[in-house]
Amino acid sequence: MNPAHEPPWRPDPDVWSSYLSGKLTDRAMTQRIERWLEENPAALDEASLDRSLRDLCELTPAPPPSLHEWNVAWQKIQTRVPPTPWWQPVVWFAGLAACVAFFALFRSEPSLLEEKPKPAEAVANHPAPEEVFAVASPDEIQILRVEGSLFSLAVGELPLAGLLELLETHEFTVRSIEPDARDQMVPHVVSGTPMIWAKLVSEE
Amino acid sequence: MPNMTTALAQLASDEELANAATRGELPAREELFHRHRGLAYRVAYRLLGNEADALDAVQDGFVKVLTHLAGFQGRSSFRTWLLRVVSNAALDLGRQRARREMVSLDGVGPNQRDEWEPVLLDDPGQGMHRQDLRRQLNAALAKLPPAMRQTFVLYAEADLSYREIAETLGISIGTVMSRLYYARQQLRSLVESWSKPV
Repeated sequence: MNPAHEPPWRPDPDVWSSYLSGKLTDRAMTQRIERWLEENPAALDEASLDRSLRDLCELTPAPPPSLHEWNVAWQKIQTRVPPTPWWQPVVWFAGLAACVAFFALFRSEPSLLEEKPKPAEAVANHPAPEEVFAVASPDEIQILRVEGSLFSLAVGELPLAGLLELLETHEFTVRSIEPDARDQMVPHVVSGTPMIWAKLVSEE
Repeated sequence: MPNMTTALAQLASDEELANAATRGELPAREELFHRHRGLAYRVAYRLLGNEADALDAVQDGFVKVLTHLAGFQGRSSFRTWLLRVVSNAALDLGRQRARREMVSLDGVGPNQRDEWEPVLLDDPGQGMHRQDLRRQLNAALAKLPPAMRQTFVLYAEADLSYREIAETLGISIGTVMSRLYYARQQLRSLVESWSKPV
């Protein structure tokens, strides 16, 4: 990326989170964020809104249960938690002993740890299953509108059908940005922020 | 490790208590409950907007946690693990309650029971004001989608960092920030009406 177009600095999520919660102890970083906020009214607005909401939560705490209610709750919990079976410590001990024996064995015979190549046919017939954390299947959602925010950039033609992919900061590089053909708008892209990404038809 | 007494349990770390509780040691279980019940309750209350339901969610959460302690692998802290279980239990309970009320309580909304909540503060005027604010906040939170509400409550009530929330819920930190951004925007009108001078 051309250094002339180097995006402006912004706090990383951990620092920003610490700043918002008042836990940031680095004085220099705090001052840097405050200078950044002066130049970024949207971020300043979000920080102010966050502070107000935290104050509101603090001002309206949950009515605490009485000691009696806590005691009753604990009694109920105890009756619902199954007792630890007598053999469980034996299982733990046996497991530990097995681990020790296992490591002792492979330390003396390291060749046993070498992975044997799998037959190609077996791999083809049984591909490694991918673990997918499915929030919703592609046919269950349709994205009609994506609002821009401080931390995201929507890419693609709406409506989108399918999973809404969210890229982490290290997963993409912005190389160039073309103005939108319809309104000639160019998104303001900030490097180092996650982005929403939609699959193109050619990527399906 | 010898059996833990109540006095020893109070000095132990959460992880030591979890280990002892896995072996069935009652003082360790009790100390874990005593130590974290308040935070778990506050989170459940914000998610449900009702004291009795929040207590039920805390019970459900602790039952699950104490039953499955052996599966707690220490990849996260005990506190964040508990908060995930309790907040999920609260959302489950909320869904069950919503179904129940649709069937049995025509015209009585989930937050209307708060109207009989006693005023606990010394200044009755201030107490009423806070009670009203709390009810408004609960109502506004109830309108957020469950995942967004859970993220916001873990942030604002449990004071978890973005990263802790991401680890607790198994989502990316970008998703946490995005959910919080939209939650704040949706709660903006509540803040503005609260900030206006009376």
